[in-house]
Amino acid sequence: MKKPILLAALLHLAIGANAAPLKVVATIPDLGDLARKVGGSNVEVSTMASGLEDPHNVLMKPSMITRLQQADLFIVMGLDLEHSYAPALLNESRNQKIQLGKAGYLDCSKGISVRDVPKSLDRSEGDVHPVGNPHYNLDPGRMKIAVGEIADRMAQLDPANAASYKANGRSFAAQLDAKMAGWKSRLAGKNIKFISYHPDFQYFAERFGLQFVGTIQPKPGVEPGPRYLDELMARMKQEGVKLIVKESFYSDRLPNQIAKATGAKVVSVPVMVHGTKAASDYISFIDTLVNAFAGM
Amino acid sequence: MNLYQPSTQKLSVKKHIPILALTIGLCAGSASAQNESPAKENNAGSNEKIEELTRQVQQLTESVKTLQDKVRRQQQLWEGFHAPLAVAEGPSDGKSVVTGAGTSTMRELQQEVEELKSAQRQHRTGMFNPDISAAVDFITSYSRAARNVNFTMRDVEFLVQSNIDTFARAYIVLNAGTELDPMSKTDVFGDVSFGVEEAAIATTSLPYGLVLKGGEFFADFTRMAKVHPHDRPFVDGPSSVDTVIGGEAKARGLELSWLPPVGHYFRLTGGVVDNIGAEGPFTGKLSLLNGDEGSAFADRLNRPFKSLMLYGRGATLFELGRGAVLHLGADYAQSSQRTKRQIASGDVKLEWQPDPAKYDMFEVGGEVLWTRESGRLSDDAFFGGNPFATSKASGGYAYAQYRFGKQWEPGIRIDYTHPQSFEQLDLDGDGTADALHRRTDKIWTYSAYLNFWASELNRLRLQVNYVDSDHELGFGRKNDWQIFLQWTAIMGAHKHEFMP
Repeated sequence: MKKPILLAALLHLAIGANAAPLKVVATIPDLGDLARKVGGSNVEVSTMASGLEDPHNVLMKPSMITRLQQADLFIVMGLDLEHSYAPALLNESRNQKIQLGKAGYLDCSKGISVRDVPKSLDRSEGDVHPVGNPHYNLDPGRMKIAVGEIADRMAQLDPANAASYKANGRSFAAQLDAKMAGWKSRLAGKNIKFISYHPDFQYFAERFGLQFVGTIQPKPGVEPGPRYLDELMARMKQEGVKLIVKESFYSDRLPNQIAKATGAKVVSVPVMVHGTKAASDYISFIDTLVNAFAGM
Repeated sequence: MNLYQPSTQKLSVKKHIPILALTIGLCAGSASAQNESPAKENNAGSNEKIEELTRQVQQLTESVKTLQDKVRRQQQLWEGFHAPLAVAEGPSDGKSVVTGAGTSTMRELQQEVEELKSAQRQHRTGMFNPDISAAVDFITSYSRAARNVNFTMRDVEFLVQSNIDTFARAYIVLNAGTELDPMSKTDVFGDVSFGVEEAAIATTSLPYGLVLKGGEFFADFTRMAKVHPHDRPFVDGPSSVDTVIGGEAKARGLELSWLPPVGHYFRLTGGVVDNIGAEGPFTGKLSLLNGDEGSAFADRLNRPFKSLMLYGRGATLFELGRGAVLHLGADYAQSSQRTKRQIASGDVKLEWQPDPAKYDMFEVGGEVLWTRESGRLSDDAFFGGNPFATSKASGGYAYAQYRFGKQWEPGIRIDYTHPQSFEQLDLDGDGTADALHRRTDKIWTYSAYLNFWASELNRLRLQVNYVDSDHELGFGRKNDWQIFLQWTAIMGAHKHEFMP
């Protein structure tokens, strides 16, 4: 009687031992955190960006290539956010499972509505993103959609743990819903008007009813000249803009100069998870942003 | 009213029906009971009344049921239009928003919208056109020794690339340009060469991390020779690379590269080509009496298998803490033919980003290279026979640069080149060549440069070279000060293959 039980137990252990975790590589830490929340102990997640840098300027490292070589799933923000490093690394990885169009390649932008799609496309307009604004990681509503996409794709790649991925996805989505009410209540009714250095807060502003007035860069990636700065400051005074949001990797010089001239306040914020110590995961990252805006 | 909240105002007819029926029934019963006792003469009339009442109750019940159905349908319609969004709130959350309990009408509408959007995408013309991009590399140079100013359009380069199918991709590089030579007056119209710089097909689906490439391409050989000139950290050369390799590492043949799946980045490359070097090996150059260039070594009219050049490269990358990457590489190439050629090199590069939150980047690197060519001397090189000879070249360079933020990037470079070549001599002064001289040069080039990146696609570079040779460089001078102003612009996504 005991022998069949022992055999079954050994068999179970053997099968369990061979169930390797799903290897996931995400481009930015926000997607990495979502992947960990959905995947739990069934996944091993690594990310390319550290969270401290400009997401358009991620240093290519050899470890990214070796991780992509072994990955089962590669998750990207899409909308050309990673164009400077991801395509070359993906090509060099030679991992057929995660190439564009394969099940192991997940572009989270496919499930969301995209804003700020340029009406015309020309390099004279600066570093435009040709298919729309890619900074939707600052919108927990859209990232909730990404959670669902990630759960579905993990379930497709690892059917044995599909129920777990979907349950975790629903659970994290519920956490986001619960936090959303609190975030909205903190920012509601405050009529917050702000400018940012680069046009990456539009999704956040739309979600939380803030008024995005303009950017320090006259065109994406282009530093301002004196005439543009004068016009910007005049507009800020006219519209009563008292908040300058500076992404953490930009210089303080121009924001401080504008603040001095207009009486506005400068807040330095991360634009990715791990951009500051407080932004240790996605929820605390949004907490950090909400606190920065609500502190006005 | 909040349009996204289901209405709580339900019609309450349903719960009153039993009461109504009971009341009517009781009333009917009561009426019936009241009519029973007094007189038998009234029984018939009473029965008729009861029947009439019963019919009326039944009709009433039918009407109530009809009303009930109508209310139920209207209730469903109301809930369908105002069901809560299953995914996220807000009017701009995209195509997957309305997944709650919706009516078939809403679902049909959503499906029609998606089909329309899809149809719009499908009817875009040129969807399978390849990616096309271009680079323009314009250099103004001045040589103090030659007292010569050149405006050189060194590269006008078109890159066309695309996936062919699920098995392969291909790319073509077309180039029109003039060689950069600050000491010679170049004719910008007359000295233009145009041709195919690269045209190759490469696999995309081989297993085990293998890629096979065939065609005409810059071989994955050495660090700098395979980089297109407009992409290099400096305006010119380095001289050691140009001399040892013979210009860029251009080759025709087959190349196989492999990334072994060992958990660390290694790239191993091997190839078989006709030769490496866009301009031919320097070591075999023969300066003719009439000023032309010839070849010191005798060539064959055919190309047997043995004459093909085999080469290999091993490269690896190490991460040294956060933000620092060390590149190492080593190469060897050899052809065995009537003229045997060997090339060996080693290279190193360190990239360091001190603060990931800033754009600053430090880069230092260098290469050492060596080549030897041996074979029978050509008829132009020796007079009375074809004895066996050997010629060598070696050298190396090192550079360092630092990028301050996005725009400014100063750098320095030192280069040492030690080539051997041949030249015809006319010892008896009769105007015909009668002797061969083997010449060995030692050339040092010290450079300082400053890059200004207006954007990632638009770069200005100012470079100053001091060239010091133990032989005459030209115009009776053994040294020269050279100034370059380079302006490079990229159109489109002009990205060459990643080859560390």
